[in-house]
Amino acid sequence: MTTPFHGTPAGAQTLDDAARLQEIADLRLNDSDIDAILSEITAEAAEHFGLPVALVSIVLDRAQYFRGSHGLDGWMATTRGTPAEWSFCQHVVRSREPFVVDDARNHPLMQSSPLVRIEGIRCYAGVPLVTSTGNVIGSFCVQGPDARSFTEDDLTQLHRYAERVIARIEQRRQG
Amino acid sequence: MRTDQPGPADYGLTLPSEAEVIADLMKLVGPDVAIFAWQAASDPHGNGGQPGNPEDLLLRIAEQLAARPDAAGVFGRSLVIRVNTYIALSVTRISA
Repeated sequence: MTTPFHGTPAGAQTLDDAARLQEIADLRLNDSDIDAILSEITAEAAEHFGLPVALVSIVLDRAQYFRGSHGLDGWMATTRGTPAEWSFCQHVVRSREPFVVDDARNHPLMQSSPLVRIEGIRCYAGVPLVTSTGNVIGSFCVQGPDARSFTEDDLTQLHRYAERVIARIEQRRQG
Repeated sequence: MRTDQPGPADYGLTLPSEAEVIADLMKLVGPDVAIFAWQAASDPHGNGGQPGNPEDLLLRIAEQLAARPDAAGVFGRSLVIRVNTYIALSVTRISA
């Protein structure tokens, strides 16, 4: 299994990689049908982990875009995304690895994010959404307001959800 | 009205200027596509554009860009989210 990324990215990828952004455009993720399809999977994940929020976050060049979600409330339920630089999910895309945060208040990459300082997110685990062409387009993740740890089995389960998400997205491309 | 609710400044969020947006778009898709996309988005009916406050203008342009089926469309979607976040945080602060 891939070692979860807790710190500095090694094989870093930029968010504005042209091939990655073109593939995101080609996937037609703005279409309205995709939200319901992916939100079913996020609802299942939130229940499995006993956490309030699960997301399919497509990481664009300057923002993360929630194309499937469970448990969002407040302004994020309206905006369906946040600036990329605040996000946990940017680190999944940049590193192409799982990103795990047990307690964001003590995490060097996340403690200053307003999602932690103001919105109160404490724990996060996300795995890459990798297309068949090898581009990482975002993250499948769960998060919550209390510190907690995640096991290798948890990450295995997240990878299964991510594979289902990619299968559904790519099925639409072929159809 | 309370004013102690966090607003965009507490989140470190500012609206980009038109010049900054155009420069970023040029960097991403090249000057020719960027200028074409910007002109089409900012004045889709060729009537000189519509007046409005900076948030509304940027949002309108961002939504036009987001409808494009290419990397400029992805850039537009990013901009839609950033401007909507700015507006949502401003509204939350005012209405709290």
